[in-house]
Amino acid sequence: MAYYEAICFWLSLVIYALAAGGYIYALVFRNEKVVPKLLVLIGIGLAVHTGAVAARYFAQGHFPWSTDYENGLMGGWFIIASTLFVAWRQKSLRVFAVATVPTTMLIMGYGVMRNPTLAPMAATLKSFWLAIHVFFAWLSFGAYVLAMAAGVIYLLKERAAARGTASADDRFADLSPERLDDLMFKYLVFGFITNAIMIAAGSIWAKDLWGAYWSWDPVETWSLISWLMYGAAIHLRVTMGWRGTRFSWLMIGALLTVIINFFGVSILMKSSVHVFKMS
Amino acid sequence: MLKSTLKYLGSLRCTIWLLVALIAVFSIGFFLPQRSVVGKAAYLKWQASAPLLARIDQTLQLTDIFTAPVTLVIWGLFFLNLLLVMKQRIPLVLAKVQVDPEKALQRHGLGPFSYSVQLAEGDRERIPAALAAQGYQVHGDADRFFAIKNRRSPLATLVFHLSFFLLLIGWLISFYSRFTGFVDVSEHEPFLGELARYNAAPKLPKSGGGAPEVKFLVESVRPEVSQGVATGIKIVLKDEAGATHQVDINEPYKTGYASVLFNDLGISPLFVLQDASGREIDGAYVKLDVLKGKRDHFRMQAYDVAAWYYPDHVVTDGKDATRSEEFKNPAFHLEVTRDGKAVASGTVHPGEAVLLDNGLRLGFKEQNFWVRLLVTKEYGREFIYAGFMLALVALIWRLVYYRREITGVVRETAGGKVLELGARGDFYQALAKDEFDRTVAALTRRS
Repeated sequence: MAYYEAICFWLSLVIYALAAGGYIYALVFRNEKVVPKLLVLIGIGLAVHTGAVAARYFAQGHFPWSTDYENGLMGGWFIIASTLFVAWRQKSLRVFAVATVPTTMLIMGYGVMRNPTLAPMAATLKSFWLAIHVFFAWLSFGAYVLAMAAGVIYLLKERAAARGTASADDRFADLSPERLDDLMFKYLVFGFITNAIMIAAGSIWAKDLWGAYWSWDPVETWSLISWLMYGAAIHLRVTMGWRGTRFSWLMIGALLTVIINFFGVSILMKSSVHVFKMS
Repeated sequence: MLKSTLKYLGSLRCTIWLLVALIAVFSIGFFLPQRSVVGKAAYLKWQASAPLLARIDQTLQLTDIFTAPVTLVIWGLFFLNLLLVMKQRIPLVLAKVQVDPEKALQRHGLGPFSYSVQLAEGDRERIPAALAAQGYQVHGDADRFFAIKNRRSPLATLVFHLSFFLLLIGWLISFYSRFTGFVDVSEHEPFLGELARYNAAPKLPKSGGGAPEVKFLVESVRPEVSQGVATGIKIVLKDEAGATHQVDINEPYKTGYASVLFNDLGISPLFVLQDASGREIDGAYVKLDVLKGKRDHFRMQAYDVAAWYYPDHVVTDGKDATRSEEFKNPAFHLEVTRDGKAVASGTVHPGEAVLLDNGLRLGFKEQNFWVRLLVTKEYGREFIYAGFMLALVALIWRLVYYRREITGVVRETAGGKVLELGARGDFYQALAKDEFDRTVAALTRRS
């Protein structure tokens, strides 16, 4: 890690931790008035986080997008940016941070425990198609995390209603269950389309790098599994009418496939061509 | 029986199960070592470490799951399902696209959202025009109209399914026409596309035919290493016409449907054997696989030579070592034997030599590189690219530009004329309501 990158990275993590704590407080003590302030805190966290990305960029001379640490750094940035973007577009969606901020902390924390060493960009990663591939990968990841967050909020509302502690409309009053249900599907659709672009761009890149569009490499295989999983979710929604609770759990469970794809493959597999060796 | 089977195969429930089945077989392929992915050595090692599991996997073809009969059957059923679903859907989709405004108006009031707008003087004519300005196609007159946005959106479902068939066709053409072969070529060495020059067993096209007519001379090879990371390799190829082409990682040389990709790098030093008077009695560029500390050997005259390579040579504690992976100070450590007996050993830089028996010297004249190039040729890419494009266009078309319908009927009431609006949209409920609320609010503002 570069000096300023380390400062910004840990500072952003501390800020996110404070924000996550604030959200837990808001949830447990039913004090949703603090949420706007927490969002400002997350905004400051994102600015510092951007500083970490920039410091790494200047130290290495390329965008961080190859190792587990860099995946965590950039992935976290996209998730927080998506959270702030949807909250800016629609105030009622500010509560999504209750799920997205802890997710970001986990993936950043996992990444920093792996390999934050600075390194020049391996030749295999110098490709226009890779830039498209990675950009859309992060967009889809951000969207799937938002779909998961909508699912979590849906279930929280539903649980509150079931316990009789509050009606479904009392918790996160600005968000009706129907709206959350639609939002899950909307983010799923966005994620699915960007995921498809990610796979297509990766396939074209693979042709120039390894000589074949598709080699059933573990990362390719798992990304297809993930895409099929979300494709099945669209089918279940559109043709079988899966909604509400079932669909929420589906969005939460399906995110596991994406997390495995981004972070798990390099642990589980030693033979993936996507584990880019530095020599 | 056949009818009911085909009916089930054409159902959307079957689609879900087939997707689940594909996810299951791909998961097996992910967790179990696949022969095509892990490489022969790693596979044999795994086989030795878990012989029983390996035998079970082999019997069930789980270690070649992506081409196993069970997977091919699932793929076959998947495409059959797509075909049957498309067959069923085509008339439905076409009927949906060719909307009958009258039928739509008969459903007026049955949609999920309804609004009433009190009309002022002159509003009646303005509202259909305002809807048209928002991208709706408006049918009917000011008193009774049907407005629709993104009418053709359902067609995208068919286009999306069609894209899978294009990908399948592209894959089949590619699979049957594909040639792949590795060839090792040194700097300044020509390659004339001869099949015999390829490394062991190039994969010939299943549809027949031989190696592609790819001819070139490797003019130069310049690997780039920085801080131990391979940051690039500049390979200059000269084709038959004398034109030069640069190959790098991610930048193959493409000629027609053939591609030449960099795959591996090795050292190709010029070693010469000289007698006591300095006369060269033998010499050759030898292709050695000695990078990353590997040992290789070659034979010259009666001598067997084992070689170790140090790209950035340094002597540490009396031992040969390399400071980095950068080619800053290349050196070879050579151990020479004849008839199994050690003759000489030593470390040489370019221009230096090892003294052998009988007054002979083995000199390291200069260092060149050799590259392992992957030559591929396949057809079908047009279908694959078209498939990708159509799939993306269809997804965006269907799921982003989804269909919205509004019916409007003007009724006379005691308070004057009221426009009753009914609205429905594909896929969304609450979000569609927001959109219709905005649309109606805009219409009301105009009125």
